[in-house]
Amino acid sequence: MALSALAAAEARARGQIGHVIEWTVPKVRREDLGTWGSVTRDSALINELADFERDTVSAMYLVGQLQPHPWPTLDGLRTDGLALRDSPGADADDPVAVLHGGGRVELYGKVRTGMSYHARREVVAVETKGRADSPFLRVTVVTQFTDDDEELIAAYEEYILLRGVEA
Amino acid sequence: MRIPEQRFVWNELDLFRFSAATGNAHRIHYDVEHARAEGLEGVVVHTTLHALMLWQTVTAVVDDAAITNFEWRNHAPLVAGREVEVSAQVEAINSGWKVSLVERSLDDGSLICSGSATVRDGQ
Repeated sequence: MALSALAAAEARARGQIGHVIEWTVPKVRREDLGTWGSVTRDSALINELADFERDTVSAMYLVGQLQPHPWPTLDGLRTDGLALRDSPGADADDPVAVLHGGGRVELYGKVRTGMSYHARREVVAVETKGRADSPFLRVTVVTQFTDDDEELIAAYEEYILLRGVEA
Repeated sequence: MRIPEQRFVWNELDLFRFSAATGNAHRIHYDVEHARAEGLEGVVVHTTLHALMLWQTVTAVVDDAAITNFEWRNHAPLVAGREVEVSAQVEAINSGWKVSLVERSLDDGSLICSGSATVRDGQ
Protein backbone atom coordinates (compact mmCIF):
# COMPACT_ATOMS: atom_id res chain seq x y z
CA MET A 1 0.00 0.00 0.00
CA ALA A 2 2.77 2.41 1.02
CA LEU A 3 4.82 1.75 -2.13
CA SER A 4 1.86 2.17 -4.45
CA ALA A 5 0.90 5.43 -2.72
CA LEU A 6 4.46 6.67 -3.18
CA ALA A 7 4.46 5.65 -6.84
CA ALA A 8 1.27 7.63 -7.39
CA ALA A 9 2.79 10.62 -5.57
CA GLU A 10 5.90 10.38 -7.73
CA ALA A 11 3.82 10.48 -10.91
CA ARG A 12 1.92 13.55 -9.66
CA ALA A 13 5.11 15.27 -8.49
CA ARG A 14 6.85 14.70 -11.84
CA GLY A 15 3.79 16.16 -13.53
CA GLN A 16 4.36 19.34 -11.53
CA ILE A 17 7.93 19.93 -12.68
CA GLY A 18 7.99 23.35 -14.23
CA HIS A 19 4.72 24.31 -12.55
CA VAL A 20 5.02 27.87 -11.23
CA ILE A 21 3.17 29.61 -8.39
CA GLU A 22 3.57 33.37 -7.97
CA TRP A 23 2.37 35.61 -5.20
CA THR A 24 3.07 38.92 -3.51
CA VAL A 25 4.46 38.91 0.01
CA PRO A 26 2.39 41.70 1.59
CA LYS A 27 4.01 44.97 2.48
CA VAL A 28 6.30 44.41 5.44
CA ARG A 29 5.07 46.39 8.42
CA ARG A 30 6.90 47.14 11.65
CA GLU A 31 4.31 45.18 13.58
CA ASP A 32 5.00 42.15 11.34
CA LEU A 33 8.67 42.38 12.17
CA GLY A 34 7.81 42.74 15.83
CA THR A 35 5.75 39.57 15.67
CA TRP A 36 8.51 37.83 13.73
CA GLY A 37 11.12 38.92 16.24
CA SER A 38 8.92 37.68 19.07
CA VAL A 39 8.08 34.25 17.66
CA THR A 40 11.67 33.63 16.55
CA ARG A 41 13.16 35.19 19.71
CA ASP A 42 15.36 37.45 17.61
CA SER A 43 16.22 39.81 20.44
CA ALA A 44 18.39 42.01 18.23
CA LEU A 45 15.46 42.63 15.89
CA ILE A 46 13.04 43.30 18.74
CA ASN A 47 15.41 45.75 20.42
CA GLU A 48 16.22 47.62 17.24
CA LEU A 49 12.58 47.90 16.25
CA ALA A 50 11.73 49.22 19.68
CA ASP A 51 14.25 52.00 19.11
CA PHE A 52 12.88 52.60 15.59
CA GLU A 53 16.46 52.74 14.39
CA ARG A 54 16.21 49.87 12.00
CA ASP A 55 13.91 49.59 9.01
CA THR A 56 15.18 46.32 7.60
CA VAL A 57 15.27 42.67 8.49
CA SER A 58 17.34 39.89 6.97
CA ALA A 59 16.14 38.09 3.86
CA MET A 60 15.55 35.02 6.06
CA TYR A 61 12.24 36.76 6.94
CA LEU A 62 11.10 36.03 3.38
CA VAL A 63 12.07 32.37 3.80
CA GLY A 64 9.61 32.27 6.69
CA GLN A 65 6.84 33.82 4.59
CA LEU A 66 6.47 31.00 2.10
CA GLN A 67 2.75 30.49 2.42
CA PRO A 68 1.39 32.10 -0.73
CA HIS A 69 -1.23 34.74 -0.13
CA PRO A 70 -4.10 34.42 0.26
CA TRP A 71 -3.62 31.50 2.67
CA PRO A 72 -5.57 28.40 1.63
CA THR A 73 -9.03 27.55 2.93
CA LEU A 74 -9.84 24.08 4.28
CA ASP A 75 -10.37 22.60 0.82
CA GLY A 76 -6.83 23.65 -0.07
CA LEU A 77 -5.35 21.58 2.77
CA ARG A 78 -4.42 17.93 3.18
CA THR A 79 -5.89 16.11 6.18
CA ASP A 80 -2.54 16.62 7.94
CA GLY A 81 -2.92 20.38 7.58
CA LEU A 82 -0.33 20.89 4.87
CA ALA A 83 -1.37 23.11 1.99
CA LEU A 84 -1.79 21.03 -1.15
CA ARG A 85 0.27 23.52 -3.09
CA ASP A 86 3.13 23.02 -0.60
CA SER A 87 3.11 19.24 -1.02
CA PRO A 88 4.01 18.51 -4.65
CA GLY A 89 2.75 15.03 -5.47
CA ALA A 90 0.76 14.49 -2.30
CA ASP A 91 -3.00 14.40 -2.71
CA ALA A 92 -5.55 15.53 -0.10
CA ASP A 93 -5.80 12.32 1.93
CA ASP A 94 -3.52 9.72 0.39
CA PRO A 95 -1.24 7.76 2.75
CA VAL A 96 1.87 9.81 2.11
CA ALA A 97 3.79 11.59 4.87
CA VAL A 98 5.41 14.88 3.93
CA LEU A 99 8.45 16.22 5.76
CA HIS A 100 10.92 18.98 5.08
CA GLY A 101 14.51 17.95 4.41
CA GLY A 102 16.18 21.33 4.63
CA GLY A 103 17.19 24.03 2.22
CA ARG A 104 19.72 26.41 0.79
CA VAL A 105 19.40 30.19 0.58
CA GLU A 106 21.36 32.58 -1.58
CA LEU A 107 21.07 36.10 -0.16
CA TYR A 108 21.44 39.26 -2.21
CA GLY A 109 19.73 42.07 -0.30
CA LYS A 110 17.74 43.20 2.72
CA VAL A 111 14.02 43.19 3.28
CA ARG A 112 12.74 46.68 3.99
CA THR A 113 9.69 47.79 5.87
CA GLY A 114 7.04 49.44 3.73
CA MET A 115 7.88 47.32 0.72
CA SER A 116 6.19 44.30 -0.76
CA TYR A 117 8.06 41.50 -2.49
CA HIS A 118 7.26 39.20 -5.38
CA ALA A 119 7.69 35.45 -4.94
CA ARG A 120 7.96 32.87 -7.71
CA ARG A 121 8.02 29.20 -6.80
CA GLU A 122 8.77 26.32 -9.16
CA VAL A 123 9.11 22.55 -8.79
CA VAL A 124 12.44 21.77 -10.44
CA ALA A 125 13.26 18.12 -9.68
CA VAL A 126 11.87 14.85 -8.32
CA GLU A 127 14.26 12.10 -7.19
CA THR A 128 13.76 8.68 -5.65
CA LYS A 129 15.98 8.15 -2.61
CA GLY A 130 16.48 5.57 0.12
CA ARG A 131 16.62 1.78 0.03
CA ALA A 132 14.62 -0.34 -2.35
CA ASP A 133 12.41 -1.58 0.49
CA SER A 134 11.91 1.89 2.00
CA PRO A 135 12.15 4.50 -0.72
CA PHE A 136 11.16 8.12 -0.43
CA LEU A 137 10.86 11.01 -2.82
CA ARG A 138 12.89 14.19 -2.65
CA VAL A 139 11.15 17.05 -4.44
CA THR A 140 13.23 20.17 -5.03
CA VAL A 141 11.35 23.44 -5.08
CA VAL A 142 12.95 26.81 -5.81
CA THR A 143 11.46 30.14 -4.72
CA GLN A 144 12.88 33.47 -5.85
CA PHE A 145 12.05 36.76 -4.13
CA THR A 146 12.36 40.03 -6.02
CA ASP A 147 11.59 43.62 -5.09
CA ASP A 148 9.54 46.19 -7.01
CA ASP A 149 12.58 46.95 -9.18
CA GLU A 150 12.80 43.24 -10.03
CA GLU A 151 16.08 43.00 -8.14
CA LEU A 152 16.65 39.52 -6.73
CA ILE A 153 16.67 39.64 -2.92
CA ALA A 154 16.87 35.92 -2.13
CA ALA A 155 16.67 32.54 -3.81
CA TYR A 156 15.54 29.60 -1.70
CA GLU A 157 15.95 25.97 -2.73
CA GLU A 158 14.08 23.54 -0.46
CA TYR A 159 13.81 19.77 -0.32
CA ILE A 160 10.43 18.23 0.41
CA LEU A 161 10.45 14.57 1.35
CA LEU A 162 7.54 12.22 0.71
CA ARG A 163 7.27 8.66 1.98
CA GLY A 164 4.44 6.19 1.81
CA VAL A 165 2.80 5.14 5.07
CA GLU A 166 0.73 2.06 5.77
CA ALA A 167 -2.95 3.05 5.91
CA MET B 1 36.57 34.92 14.41
CA ARG B 2 34.93 32.81 17.09
CA ILE B 3 31.22 32.05 17.24
CA PRO B 4 30.05 30.84 20.67
CA GLU B 5 27.58 28.01 21.13
CA GLN B 6 23.91 28.92 21.53
CA ARG B 7 21.20 26.91 23.27
CA PHE B 8 17.55 26.86 22.31
CA VAL B 9 14.36 25.22 23.50
CA TRP B 10 10.90 25.66 21.96
CA ASN B 11 7.73 24.75 23.83
CA GLU B 12 4.37 23.87 22.31
CA LEU B 13 3.12 27.45 22.61
CA ASP B 14 6.20 28.77 20.78
CA LEU B 15 5.55 26.34 17.94
CA PHE B 16 1.85 27.24 17.80
CA ARG B 17 2.72 30.94 17.52
CA PHE B 18 5.33 30.28 14.84
CA SER B 19 2.80 28.27 12.84
CA ALA B 20 0.37 31.18 13.11
CA ALA B 21 2.97 33.77 12.09
CA THR B 22 3.95 31.77 9.00
CA GLY B 23 0.51 30.50 7.98
CA ASN B 24 1.67 26.92 8.44
CA ALA B 25 -1.25 24.61 9.26
CA HIS B 26 0.77 21.36 9.28
CA ARG B 27 -0.57 19.44 12.25
CA ILE B 28 2.75 17.93 13.29
CA HIS B 29 3.65 21.34 14.73
CA TYR B 30 0.59 21.93 16.96
CA ASP B 31 -1.57 18.76 17.17
CA VAL B 32 0.05 16.31 19.60
CA GLU B 33 -2.33 13.46 18.78
CA HIS B 34 -1.72 13.81 15.06
CA ALA B 35 2.04 14.05 15.54
CA ARG B 36 2.02 10.80 17.52
CA ALA B 37 -0.14 9.14 14.88
CA GLU B 38 2.62 10.00 12.39
CA GLY B 39 5.18 8.25 14.57
CA LEU B 40 6.56 11.33 16.31
CA GLU B 41 6.98 11.65 20.08
CA GLY B 42 5.16 14.97 20.12
CA VAL B 43 4.78 18.17 18.15
CA VAL B 44 8.01 19.03 16.36
CA VAL B 45 10.01 22.14 15.58
CA HIS B 46 9.57 23.65 12.11
CA THR B 47 12.32 23.37 9.52
CA THR B 48 12.50 27.16 9.32
CA LEU B 49 13.11 27.37 13.08
CA HIS B 50 15.98 24.93 12.72
CA ALA B 51 17.37 27.19 10.03
CA LEU B 52 16.86 30.23 12.25
CA MET B 53 18.62 28.60 15.21
CA LEU B 54 21.68 28.07 13.05
CA TRP B 55 21.27 31.52 11.52
CA GLN B 56 20.96 33.27 14.89
CA THR B 57 24.05 31.47 16.19
CA VAL B 58 26.00 33.15 13.40
CA THR B 59 24.28 36.55 13.61
CA ALA B 60 25.01 36.75 17.33
CA VAL B 61 28.50 37.68 16.11
CA VAL B 62 28.11 38.61 12.45
CA ASP B 63 25.92 41.26 10.81
CA ASP B 64 23.30 39.35 8.83
CA ALA B 65 24.01 41.56 5.80
CA ALA B 66 27.41 39.89 5.53
CA ILE B 67 25.95 36.40 5.06
CA THR B 68 25.82 35.58 1.35
CA ASN B 69 24.85 31.94 1.41
CA PHE B 70 23.20 29.73 4.00
CA GLU B 71 22.09 26.13 3.94
CA TRP B 72 20.82 23.51 6.34
CA ARG B 73 19.81 19.89 6.40
CA ASN B 74 17.40 18.24 8.82
CA HIS B 75 18.59 14.91 10.24
CA ALA B 76 16.03 14.12 12.94
CA PRO B 77 12.84 15.68 14.31
CA LEU B 78 13.08 17.84 17.42
CA VAL B 79 10.18 17.51 19.82
CA ALA B 80 8.88 20.54 21.70
CA GLY B 81 10.52 21.03 25.07
CA ARG B 82 13.82 19.35 24.19
CA GLU B 83 16.86 21.62 24.49
CA VAL B 84 19.50 21.76 21.78
CA GLU B 85 22.87 23.39 21.38
CA VAL B 86 24.17 24.85 18.14
CA SER B 87 27.95 24.96 17.75
CA ALA B 88 30.02 26.51 15.01
CA GLN B 89 33.40 25.99 13.39
CA VAL B 90 34.89 28.86 11.41
CA GLU B 91 37.25 28.44 8.50
CA ALA B 92 38.90 31.28 6.61
CA ILE B 93 38.27 31.18 2.86
CA ASN B 94 38.89 33.56 -0.02
CA SER B 95 36.92 36.76 0.64
CA GLY B 96 35.63 35.75 4.06
CA TRP B 97 34.69 32.76 6.20
CA LYS B 98 32.87 29.48 5.96
CA VAL B 99 30.95 28.67 9.15
CA SER B 100 29.95 25.04 9.67
CA LEU B 101 27.07 24.57 12.10
CA VAL B 102 25.75 21.61 14.04
CA GLU B 103 22.63 21.37 16.19
CA ARG B 104 22.64 18.58 18.76
CA SER B 105 20.20 17.42 21.39
CA LEU B 106 21.36 18.12 24.93
CA ASP B 107 19.48 15.01 26.07
CA ASP B 108 21.62 12.51 24.21
CA GLY B 109 23.95 14.40 21.86
CA SER B 110 22.11 13.18 18.77
CA LEU B 111 22.42 15.18 15.57
CA ILE B 112 19.28 17.16 14.78
CA CYS B 113 20.37 19.57 12.07
CA SER B 114 23.52 20.73 10.33
CA GLY B 115 24.34 23.55 8.01
CA SER B 116 26.74 26.23 6.91
CA ALA B 117 26.94 29.93 6.27
CA THR B 118 29.29 31.87 4.02
CA VAL B 119 30.27 35.20 5.54
CA ARG B 120 31.68 37.99 3.39
CA ASP B 121 34.91 39.64 4.53
CA GLY B 122 34.62 42.87 6.42
CA GLN B 123 33.49 41.46 9.78
